[in-house]
Amino acid sequence: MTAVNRSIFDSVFSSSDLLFDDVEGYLPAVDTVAALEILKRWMAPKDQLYAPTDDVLRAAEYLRFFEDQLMAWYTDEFRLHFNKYAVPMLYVNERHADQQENARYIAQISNTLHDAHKHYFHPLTYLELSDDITDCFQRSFNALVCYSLPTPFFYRSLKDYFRCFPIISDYTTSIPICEGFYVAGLRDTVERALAETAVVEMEIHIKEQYTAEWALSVLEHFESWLTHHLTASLEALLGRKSQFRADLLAIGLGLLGNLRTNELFDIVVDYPDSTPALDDIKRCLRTPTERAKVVNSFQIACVKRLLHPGANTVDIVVAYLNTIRAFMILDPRGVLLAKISRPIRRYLKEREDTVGVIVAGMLGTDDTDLKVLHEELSQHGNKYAQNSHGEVDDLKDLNWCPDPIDAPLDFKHVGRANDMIGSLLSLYENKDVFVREFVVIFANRLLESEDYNIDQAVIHLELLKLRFGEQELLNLDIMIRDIAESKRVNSSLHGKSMEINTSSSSRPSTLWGGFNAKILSRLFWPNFNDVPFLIPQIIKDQADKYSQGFEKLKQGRKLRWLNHIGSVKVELELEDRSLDFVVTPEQASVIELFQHQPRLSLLEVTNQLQAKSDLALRAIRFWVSKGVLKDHGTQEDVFIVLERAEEKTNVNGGVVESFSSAAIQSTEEASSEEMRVYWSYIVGMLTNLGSMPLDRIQSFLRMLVPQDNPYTRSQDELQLFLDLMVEEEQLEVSGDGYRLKK
Amino acid sequence: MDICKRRLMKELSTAEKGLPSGLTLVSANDLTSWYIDITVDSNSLYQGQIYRLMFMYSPNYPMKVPNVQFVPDENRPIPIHPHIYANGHICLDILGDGWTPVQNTVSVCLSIQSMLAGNHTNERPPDNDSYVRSAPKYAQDSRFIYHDDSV
Amino acid sequence: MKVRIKEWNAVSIWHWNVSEDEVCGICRVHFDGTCPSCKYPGDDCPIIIGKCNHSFHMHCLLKWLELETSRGLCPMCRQPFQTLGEDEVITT
Repeated sequence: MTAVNRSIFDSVFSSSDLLFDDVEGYLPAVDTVAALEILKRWMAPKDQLYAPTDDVLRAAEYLRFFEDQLMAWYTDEFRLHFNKYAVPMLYVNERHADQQENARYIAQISNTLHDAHKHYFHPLTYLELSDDITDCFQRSFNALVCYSLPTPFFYRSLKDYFRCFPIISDYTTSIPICEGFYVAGLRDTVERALAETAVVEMEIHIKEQYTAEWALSVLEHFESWLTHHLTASLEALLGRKSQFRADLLAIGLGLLGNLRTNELFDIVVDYPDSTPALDDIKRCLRTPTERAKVVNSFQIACVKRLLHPGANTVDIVVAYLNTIRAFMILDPRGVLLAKISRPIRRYLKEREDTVGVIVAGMLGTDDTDLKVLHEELSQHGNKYAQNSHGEVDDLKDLNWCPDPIDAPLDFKHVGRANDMIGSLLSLYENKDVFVREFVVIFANRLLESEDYNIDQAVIHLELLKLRFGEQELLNLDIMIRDIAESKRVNSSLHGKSMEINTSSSSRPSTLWGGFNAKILSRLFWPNFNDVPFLIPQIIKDQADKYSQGFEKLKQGRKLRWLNHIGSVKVELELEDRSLDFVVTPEQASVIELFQHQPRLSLLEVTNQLQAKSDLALRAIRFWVSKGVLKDHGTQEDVFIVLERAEEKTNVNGGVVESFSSAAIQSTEEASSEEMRVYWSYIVGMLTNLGSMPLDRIQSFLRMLVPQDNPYTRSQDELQLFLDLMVEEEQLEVSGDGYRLKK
Repeated sequence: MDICKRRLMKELSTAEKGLPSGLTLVSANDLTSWYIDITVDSNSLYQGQIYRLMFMYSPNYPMKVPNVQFVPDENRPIPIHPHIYANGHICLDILGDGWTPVQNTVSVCLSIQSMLAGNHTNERPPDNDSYVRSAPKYAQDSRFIYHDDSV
Repeated sequence: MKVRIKEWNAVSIWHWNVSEDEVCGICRVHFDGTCPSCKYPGDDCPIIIGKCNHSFHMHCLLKWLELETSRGLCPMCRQPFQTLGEDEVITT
């Protein structure tokens, strides 16, 4: 080979050594010069492609004598030609804003390069060139293209093109275009554009197809789409198998993980319907960075959407319970949960009504989403009760394993995602806060219960004992016992009343059947503030008689009456109507005064009742709202009995209210009456803020009402009041809120 | 809950709110043994000196008398008193036969305080040496003969 | 107007016939609460008043009196403890 090469050089520059050592290689110099000229003429780039003539083919047989010389000439030749004819086709003045225009431009480049390649390589196919020479020529062509093409501009245009003709849907259109680029050596550039485009298309697909689709796992669908659509189209465009799928899958999982991470708060709210989405996220979360991102974004969402004064406590607790269960799916080790739950727990702990909400949930008294707590209590009982404080690792626990490496310092094994009550109870250092709340709730219910009925309370106590232990709930036990004992004492006093009153007295000797009492062991009930006022004398007589009976029955013990607690059934006979009510003792005592004097001033009522004037005024307002009393009108703070119902208030006039509805209404409206003190605050905020939903009004009142007499009404009470205001045409309902009626 | 523990918890919570002057709660770690520092500034014999009392309560407290004695420390000597032995044992009516369950930690401290306050004799009990030689570890296990009811 | 009270459901609290703030000298618990060995107040855990006018939870006093060291004395005044008289003793 070296010999042959040397002879070629010799043939060009010096003919003296022609016969050097290769007899077969010998040819007269004049013939090689002629052959070279023939070939040059034929190879020179032209408009058309011409098949070689016999002369050309004959001349080609001399090729080995001037191969390098010919190719050097040809390279210069096509370079000139390319610069003259092709390069102008590769440039445009500006970026094509118009997609069609851009597509034409891309197609034009592809065609130009394709044609150029075809033309320039056409003659070579007839020459028996060595591989080295062909490769070298190809490299020259590629270098020329590369040098001539405005690369960054071309790359941008190519990406624009793929945006217009997506891989997934229009790959057939793009196949010939890509091939034009491949022959021109632009495969790397095209592949890069395709890869970037594929990622964009994947992102679009994920966003469009999977956003808010949580009820089904989408991973399988995604992988199938990736294989059968995206990768398949991509490989058709590339014209070969590719390694892209693995990379794309990794990127795709990341994108899906991102989507779900951003959606996580809603996914948690949607739990358990969103369980498949949680399983998906779990598979997408692989690195500590991704986990940290989940924690971050969830915490931000929590603060923004949950942990603010406008959110309802029930909703926060429900969201917290969902968070626990959802994060135990995401990370069964509980590390993420431990990190996430801290701010929620801290916030819940700060809320005043959290304990109340949890307790109501456990007792199943309110019909909220927290009824699940009651179900858990009823179903599982003490399953989790023991060792729920397990601060120290249980040395006998065979399933023990060390804390995960990324666990926070104060990490505790949460372990039992189903133990919802346990996770809520652990909000507080000890269970006392709950026990105190139970005492208040039981006290209210037991005092309200008619006929000394304790059945429901007993059932609840038994359930709670499973969870809280008997000793801790001893108060409740004693309270229930008090009511049961009261029932025995009450019936005993009524049955034996003849025997008791042996003293000579002008009053009737028997205890009146309508007077019943509950007798409490004071140290075990909540504190009852003393609210002094006088009950009607006839009732006081009964109470005294009752006390005497009790002292006989339970020697060494005395009774102290709590006048302001209890309930009274009254019937009012007016000239045109008769009304039944269940009212508080002070309301009954006030209306009883009006029986003797149909017209009384506030001061007179206060004096006769020996009560504080706000107590008297509240009771009077109640009767005014019932249309029984009315403002005198001309004289301030004087009230008169409405013997004949007036038009305006005659809603129930003449109708004897059925007992039960009267009972419910009276308590509701008594509370609404007391809500009127907050009316000015409500008017103020609605004037400023227009329409507001119930829960926001509730939280605003909590903030606005001065703390020396804090606002403690429940949202239900507020709603009743607002609805009453709607009835009174002060407010109107607008959308999801209330606003002032104009 | 047993009476001893409940009673001691009540006493402790009261003590933690504050003790009468001259008394300082040092520790009550396991509830059944307390240390209280006591000063008697009204008597020049004891002025400026801090003494330390140890209380040990049996499970029968308050039906049974607790063991109460002075314990010495680097700068907590045993007060010199005709009814207090050099080993810290105290010969006091209410810490023996005179005990009744209405007595309590603070009332015992106050009795000891007044016993010291009223003393003007700067000496140990006459049988101090022989007693200390043969005394049991705890004062409670001794049978004292009450020398002098007037102190 | 005529007001007819059909039913009056009252609420009261009971207390032993001693000052409401007084505690049992032995266990230091309110008389109206329970002695340390009782669960329920009232009938189950009565108080006892001596002729010397000192009162205790009955169970607390009995625990004391059954000890030899008590010599039957009132823990308050160390007089022999005697109850107020048969009909005045509070028992269950």
